[in-house]
Amino acid sequence: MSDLRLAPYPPGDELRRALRAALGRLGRPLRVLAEDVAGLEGAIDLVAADPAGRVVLVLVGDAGGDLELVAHGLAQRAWLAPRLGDWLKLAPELDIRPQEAIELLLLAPEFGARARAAARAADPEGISLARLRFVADGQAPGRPLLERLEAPGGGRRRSGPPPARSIFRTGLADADLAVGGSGLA
Amino acid sequence: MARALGDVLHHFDPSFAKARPGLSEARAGAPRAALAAVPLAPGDLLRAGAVWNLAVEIARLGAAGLVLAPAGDLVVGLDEGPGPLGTRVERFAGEEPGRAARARADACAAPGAVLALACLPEAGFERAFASDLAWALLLAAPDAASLGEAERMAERVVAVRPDARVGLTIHGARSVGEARDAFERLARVVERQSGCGLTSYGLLVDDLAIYRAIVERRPVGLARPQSPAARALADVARLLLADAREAPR
Repeated sequence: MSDLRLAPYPPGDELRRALRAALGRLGRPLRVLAEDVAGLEGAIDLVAADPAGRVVLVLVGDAGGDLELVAHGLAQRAWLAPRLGDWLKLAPELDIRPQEAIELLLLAPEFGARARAAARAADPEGISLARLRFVADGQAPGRPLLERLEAPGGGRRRSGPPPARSIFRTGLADADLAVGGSGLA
Repeated sequence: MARALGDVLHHFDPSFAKARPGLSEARAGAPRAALAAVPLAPGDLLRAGAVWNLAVEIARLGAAGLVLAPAGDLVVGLDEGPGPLGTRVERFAGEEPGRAARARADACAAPGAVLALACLPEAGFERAFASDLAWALLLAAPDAASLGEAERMAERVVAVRPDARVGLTIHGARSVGEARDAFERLARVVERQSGCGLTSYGLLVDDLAIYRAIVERRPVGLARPQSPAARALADVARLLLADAREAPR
């Protein structure tokens, strides 16, 4: 552990291979359906599905490209959505549910406030942001570190424990408070 | 941050912990007391006083009351050492207050202690949630400005640690209804903005009584045990203790 350092992202194929193994650390297993898909004037890094058959589109952005990545993701998702039905006809074994909204999982070295706000505003339930870094130990190849930044809405809530619901709690009644401040005397 | 990359890697990828002898073992010791952290501005007598009075109420409920506060003038009026009913105030030092508080709690908590309360500087408060803490306790008055501050703090914490428990106590409420309205208003905003729920820890009344308690060095629960302030403090302490038994450490 003496020579740990942040490493640059590996090239495309290697990056995707590393991600395939690492995505499950974000809280639920993802089954990769396709890699490096030619999307709308650009590539989609990974198309995956969660255990319920919901399609998850995974895109990786560069440092400083976080805001652009949000827009890129929305565009690719819009492009992919009407094609999922055809995919299922061609390959029923994919076992996906094309009628469900596609989840976007966006990965980048960092997400700034503008990218986070844009993702929340665009689709708070369907966009997940995770910080992706590669860490190398000595001369060994870098390993991916994934850190979820934003609650993904639907996906995480369905697969994990329900979040604490915000219910006001007190064992007091107004009579206990003695409005007027008898406790100050 | 002074912390080395290697110190936090295991939080993202457990396999890194194996590469660092001693780390796993250090985390796998005796059960720890849960640690709830309260953000404070320098000289914030009200929040410091509330924390101290809550520790006394926790002690009255039969648990160990431990308050952790940074060395220096962030928290004034709390004397280090033993206090009423076996409570203790412990000061800590370090560039990373969350880490220092956690270490101090581990070192000082009585055997079997379930909960310690830590006062941490509100500036950079959320950084402690990157690896050391998982439970924040915010105190907010029912006015818009105070709720706005609490909202921003809650969002800062969950941005760093989405699974953190963020608790809210409304102080200075004049009625249960006012406290409930304030809590629910803030919870709706936080849920909408961050997707995380807030955990309610009741309400505190009679801020003046809390000021007086810390100035007089006499906790409200002992000086005025039948007062509304004491009843409210006891209620909040009961909620905290109940959650501490299942809280993230």
